[in-house]
Amino acid sequence: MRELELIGLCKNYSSGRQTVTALDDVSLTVRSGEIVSILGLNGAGKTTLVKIIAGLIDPDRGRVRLDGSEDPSRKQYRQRIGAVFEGNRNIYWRLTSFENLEYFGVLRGLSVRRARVRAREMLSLFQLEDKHSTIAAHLSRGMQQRLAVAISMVHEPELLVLDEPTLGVDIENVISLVDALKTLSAHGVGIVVTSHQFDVVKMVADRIALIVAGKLVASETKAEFLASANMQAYSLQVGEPMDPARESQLQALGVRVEEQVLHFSSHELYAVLDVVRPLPIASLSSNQDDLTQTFLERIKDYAHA
Amino acid sequence: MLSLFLVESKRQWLIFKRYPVEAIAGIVIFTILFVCLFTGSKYLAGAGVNFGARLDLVVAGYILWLVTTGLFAGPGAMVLEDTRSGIMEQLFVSPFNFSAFTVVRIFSGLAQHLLLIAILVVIISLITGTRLDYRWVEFIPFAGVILATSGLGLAIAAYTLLVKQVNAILSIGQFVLLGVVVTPIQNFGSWGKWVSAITPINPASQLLQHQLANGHEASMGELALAIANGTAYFLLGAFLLELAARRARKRASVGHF
Repeated sequence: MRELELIGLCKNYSSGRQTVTALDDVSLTVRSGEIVSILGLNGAGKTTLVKIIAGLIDPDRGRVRLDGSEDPSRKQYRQRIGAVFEGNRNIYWRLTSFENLEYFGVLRGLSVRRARVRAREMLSLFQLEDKHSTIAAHLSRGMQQRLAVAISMVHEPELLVLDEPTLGVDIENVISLVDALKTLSAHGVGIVVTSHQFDVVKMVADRIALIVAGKLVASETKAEFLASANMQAYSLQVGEPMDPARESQLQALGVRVEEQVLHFSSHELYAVLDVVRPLPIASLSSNQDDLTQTFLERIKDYAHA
Repeated sequence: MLSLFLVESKRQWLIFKRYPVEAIAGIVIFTILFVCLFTGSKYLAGAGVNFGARLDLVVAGYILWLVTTGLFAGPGAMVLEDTRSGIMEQLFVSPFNFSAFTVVRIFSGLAQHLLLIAILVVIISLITGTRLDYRWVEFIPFAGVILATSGLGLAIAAYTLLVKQVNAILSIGQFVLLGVVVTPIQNFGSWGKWVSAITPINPASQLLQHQLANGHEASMGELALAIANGTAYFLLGAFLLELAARRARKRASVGHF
């Protein structure tokens, strides 16, 4: 794969007389070996976007192109992508890990022999070799999710689409999944991932696409995204409640006060400390690398726009 | 397609082997149902009554009905199960189109289904003493029955894919199927043979019952009609399922209740 192009995607859902816009003129490009993380609040349109890429939803308008292969519902397109959808899905619970990989390998267009070879390779890559003959229902949630991602990769797709792949997965399995995704990306697989777990996004994403109310409002490298909001900002937690006079002074400096937590830019650091003195300080942290804070700041920008 | 047929057959066999209670319960229930019908009819008719060829016809009709029930309900039930378990979205991401995949599924499970029916045939034959007339030529109307019923099953799967509510239709459908399989529509007046010709399954099932029970020698016209009826309903079902798959993509309802 050279690149996946999403061009002017629009999708509305109708329920009775109500029409809800899920996507509004979304254009995005994902290149070979790139991991793009789609961020947005619940209902922003992330899952709709992912399902359009996977060919599960037809857009009302717009196009999806994978190196010129136009239609996600066509065989040539679907042979080149793998997908994992949200929830305890994607696998047959009554089959073993190996049987699942073999079955879905063939379902993705491999011969039986090739599917078996790839099934062994995937069990090794995702560290599930000792679960070869374990019925999927008896695997832990984290292992089931690793198996689901392994299944989505069994036919060697060039593009992987993952909707909340680490939801409900423990930290050990998250790290294992992140390692596997980075390995795949290093081998040239393009990956589109949605997640509400910002620590995971921070670990894997090369680029971040931000969706607000169906509109793609940003598509930036992770570094650009992190630097974009409140660069050099601080959060300070005061150890006891503040009096109204101090609060007024802080607000006059442009400080955002949330109970005992103060948010401000680096320019106000010493002025804020002067106002707070002599109250105890519980914590002082730089937000420079905080994806959650950056996300909240950016979302707020668009809510106010 | 052959690879898909093989792994799907393997999947269905593994699930049958690991969780056999449902299939065995089916055999037991259908045997008990027949025994109740048979002994009840004998009691009503009185002692010493010989059912003769009519019993053979009833047995043949009952067996054909059993063949059709599984094929009729199977595809819709599978769509419902895969939607509930969340696997449906993965099936749609496959390069195989959904109606082709469902057809492969039907035929992958056919051998297993017919094996269970064969066990029932042996049990019923032992109970009733019936000897049916098995000949190679009967494969043609049998194929007609399989094709037409599969077509209806595909149409039910199409409905299930969009509406996700199929239990009521499947329950009522079993009785409609029974009527369609055993009713000699071709004998109903001058229009009977035309109505039978366009009724799903009926020309093939009627021909097959008479071949099995009475040793009827089928004409080329009867055989051609049985196959044509089956093929037409099969293609119609596959077409409806393909339309439903497209509509589900448009409505963003794949895998959703």
